[in-house]
Amino acid sequence: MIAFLKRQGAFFNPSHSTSRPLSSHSLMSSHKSTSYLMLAIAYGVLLFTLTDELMAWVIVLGMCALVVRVLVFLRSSQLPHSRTINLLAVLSLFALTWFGFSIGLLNSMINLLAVAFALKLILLDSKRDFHLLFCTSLFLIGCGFISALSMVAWVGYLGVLIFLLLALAYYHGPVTPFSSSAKFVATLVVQAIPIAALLFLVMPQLPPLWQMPTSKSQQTGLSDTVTPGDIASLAKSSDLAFTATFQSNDDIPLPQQRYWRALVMEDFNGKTWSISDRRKQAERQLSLLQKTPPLTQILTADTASTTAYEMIVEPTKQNWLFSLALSEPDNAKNTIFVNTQFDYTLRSSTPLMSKKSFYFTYVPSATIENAAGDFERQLNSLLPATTNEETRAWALALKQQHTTPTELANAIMNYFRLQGFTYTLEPNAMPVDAIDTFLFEEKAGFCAHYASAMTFALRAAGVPARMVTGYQGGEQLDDNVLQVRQYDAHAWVEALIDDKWQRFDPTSMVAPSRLSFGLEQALADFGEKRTSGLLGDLSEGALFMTLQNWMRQMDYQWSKWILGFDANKQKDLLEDLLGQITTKKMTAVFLSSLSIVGVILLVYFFPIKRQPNLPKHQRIYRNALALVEKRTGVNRHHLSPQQYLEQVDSYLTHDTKASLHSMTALFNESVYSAESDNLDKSHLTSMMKKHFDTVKKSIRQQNA
Amino acid sequence: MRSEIEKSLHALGEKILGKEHQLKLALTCLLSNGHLLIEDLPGMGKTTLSHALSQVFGLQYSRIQFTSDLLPSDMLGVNIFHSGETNTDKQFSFRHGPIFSQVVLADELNRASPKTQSALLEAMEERQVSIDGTTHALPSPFFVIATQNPSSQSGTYPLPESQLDRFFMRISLGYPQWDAEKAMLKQTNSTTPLEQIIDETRLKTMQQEVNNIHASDALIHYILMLVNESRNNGTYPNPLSPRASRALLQGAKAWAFISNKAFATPEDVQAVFTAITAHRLSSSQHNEGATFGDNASSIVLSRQLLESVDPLAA
Repeated sequence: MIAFLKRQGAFFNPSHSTSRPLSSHSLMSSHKSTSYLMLAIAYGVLLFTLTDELMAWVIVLGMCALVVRVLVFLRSSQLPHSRTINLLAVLSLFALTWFGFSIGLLNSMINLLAVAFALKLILLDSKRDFHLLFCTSLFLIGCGFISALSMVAWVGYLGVLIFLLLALAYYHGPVTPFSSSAKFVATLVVQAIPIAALLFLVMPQLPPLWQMPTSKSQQTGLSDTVTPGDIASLAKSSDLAFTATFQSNDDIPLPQQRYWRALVMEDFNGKTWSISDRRKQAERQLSLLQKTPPLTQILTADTASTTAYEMIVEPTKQNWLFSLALSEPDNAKNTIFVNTQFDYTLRSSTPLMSKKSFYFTYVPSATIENAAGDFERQLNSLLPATTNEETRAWALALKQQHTTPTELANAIMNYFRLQGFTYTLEPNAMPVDAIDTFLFEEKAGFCAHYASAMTFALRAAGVPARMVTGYQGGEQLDDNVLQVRQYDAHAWVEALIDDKWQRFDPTSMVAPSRLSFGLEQALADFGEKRTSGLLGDLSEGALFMTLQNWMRQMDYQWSKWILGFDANKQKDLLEDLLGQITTKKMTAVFLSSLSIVGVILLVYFFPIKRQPNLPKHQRIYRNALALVEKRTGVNRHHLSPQQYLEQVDSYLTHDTKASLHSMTALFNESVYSAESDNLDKSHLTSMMKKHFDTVKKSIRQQNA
Repeated sequence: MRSEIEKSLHALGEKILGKEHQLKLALTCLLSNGHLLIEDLPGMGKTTLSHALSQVFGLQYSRIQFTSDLLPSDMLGVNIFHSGETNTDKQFSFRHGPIFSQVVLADELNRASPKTQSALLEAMEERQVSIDGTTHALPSPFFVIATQNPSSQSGTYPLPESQLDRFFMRISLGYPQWDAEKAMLKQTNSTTPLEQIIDETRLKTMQQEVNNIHASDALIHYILMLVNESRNNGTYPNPLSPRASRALLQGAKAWAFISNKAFATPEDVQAVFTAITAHRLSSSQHNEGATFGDNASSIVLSRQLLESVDPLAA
């Protein structure tokens, strides 16, 4: 960075600013067009990393700009007329305004940036524009970091950044060949890294000054409505959902107990389960009444068997969260405040736009109370008017045989176990009276089918019940680390029995291995595979598994140490290093780190002539000249040493002059003569040193 | 300084008083085997200088006064038919024009039509003349000293940049100092010719020796940095050509030779820099309405370029 600024200084010199537009393209020197092309390529790469945010037509426009640039580079064809581009700009503006409402503010702005970049790129023909686009691409990289925070993204963007710097250096440093531009950029990056690391470790982690506008783009992971079949499509994805880190291996619950509760679906329209509007309303009213969320009371009562754990959650672009059932958020540590709702689900105060860490305390003994009394009972007994008559009749018949709700629920579970149901990812479509068809004809389905059918039957028999979605299971990555992927998504049933919500998992009746060994094993029991085709076979290879495992480990460590480095971890680190934290110490650490950075900057800025690669005798010579400059107050600027010494002749004593002239002669001999390579370097150095001492001494005397 | 060079400079100094630097540059140009352009107002001693140079080196000298009606053939020569009595006598023979001399003074070059100008410049570049399909080699050494009036004067055809580039160097003598002019006025024997100090063969070996002066990588980098600065900084309307960078190197070597050094240093580049680059850097707009002031402005450009590169950075 420093070297860059230094180098830039020369180009922003006002006396040189009267740049003239190049009259024809054939005159455009090759290094310029090469760096334009490099900028265009970097832009192309950035477009591909931003496919989630950008609209398709924006990407097409960007690619067109890239193609124009490549053509200009290859055939030095004429740039399009600026009138054409202006027309395109107006059209794009209309398109952006039109689509802007549907994609949200943030994405519109990213799109605007990309469109503007593309249009300017087509016309790019001057230094000013090049600088402008360079800065804009830095902003695009910043936009990329809003959603992508993985290590791969970080390395990728670093690569793009270095490539951009290279383009900039090459644009400005054509005197020298490409390799020296590369060397220059390398020095720049190496200089920047320690400063960045220092700032990362000690800069106070301030909360953001503004809130990210909510994005309306495609959500990932669970959705807030469930139509049986949805989760099956989620099961195809092996994207990471979250990583949970426990304090030790003993703290990890058994596989059968790993229920990560996310959403409670209480509204059924005959086809789709969704979060009830009445529930949302009730939550709002209850929070207005400032009632304490239920779990807090349990936690204070029972602290013996609790377990604290940390979750690194992948961005969902939603504000609901999941946790081991049941867990209490540790809001003292969380950077985003997490609310517990009255149905014991969790909501973060802002949507999860990027990977975030959350802290929870797991309370295994906690039960889900009926926190809202008759309201919940009533809400969870509703059924759509005239559908699935057969199921209703069957449920009522079951009710006759089994009087208590627990017996009834177990009877339904047993029905699944005994009536030859199968577990499959790809059940047949059930368009009409889905539950009837499922229970009595198809008898094959995925977790959501079972949960949906059981909830319906319970409600029909007069037992309040609801569907709960979330994740079940998780792979152990480390001794104390669990990773949960999208294919672990699951749905189960909660029934209100004795004023407590009890969990029933009908899937476990059909595919018991789903709970203990995960989805793959459960499907294998029924002769199915989660993924099919070549990729599926490949993923079973040992090498692939090792590689995948390794990648997962890397990504986990990255998330834990880099992304998870928040104010708490920073405090812990400083405490480890300095002991007890006091305000005084914090101020001292902060100020000293700032001043270290400042000193580094000063070191690079002040002794402007830093020539680390020079031979020693040359450095001594330059030091001598610097001494003379200091003594006389006359800068050498562009003068050659000889001319300079003539200019400052009258300021210097006879001794100084004699020594300086000998030094100049030695210098000229060593740099410009034909024998320069054959000279005895150490002799030269000692001679220089001798003269330098004389100069130093006589100048000091003169000063005195 | 080499004694023979010093002697010849001293001799030239007797004719052109108080212009040691310009004389040294002119010698550099001659030793570099380049052509010299002198731009000055009338009566400043352009002709005297070229005459004196040819005398000191004992070279054959001719002078062409360029006018707007001068034709190329007037300068190059023509084929003439001899109407002899026998058949062997009846034939064309080539009569050499005034350009077939070792030192040619092309006086007031910018008064001639472009056609004639380019004929001269072609001869300068190729050191040969083609007439009616026959090629005639020009004598060696071949040294053109062209003088140019400031183009604001009436009846001038300014030289285009491409042709200016062919002149190795441009100098202008300018008005003499008080003392020098006084000494000149007191001179009584101003018409006596100078005696020859260096002969033709010695001149050729000296030109060879100039080529053998060592130029280190550091020096070449310095020249490269200078020319590239003119190309990449938008301030210069006519960036320096590779011919200019070669001229810079050659000029620096010749200057080092004159100073009796075994190798060239940045001082040598700097000494010849303005003379070699100023006329190449000036813009065409400047040339069209050019006056002395514009000549000065191209020198300012050249100085600015020189000052933007530190020789120790190379």
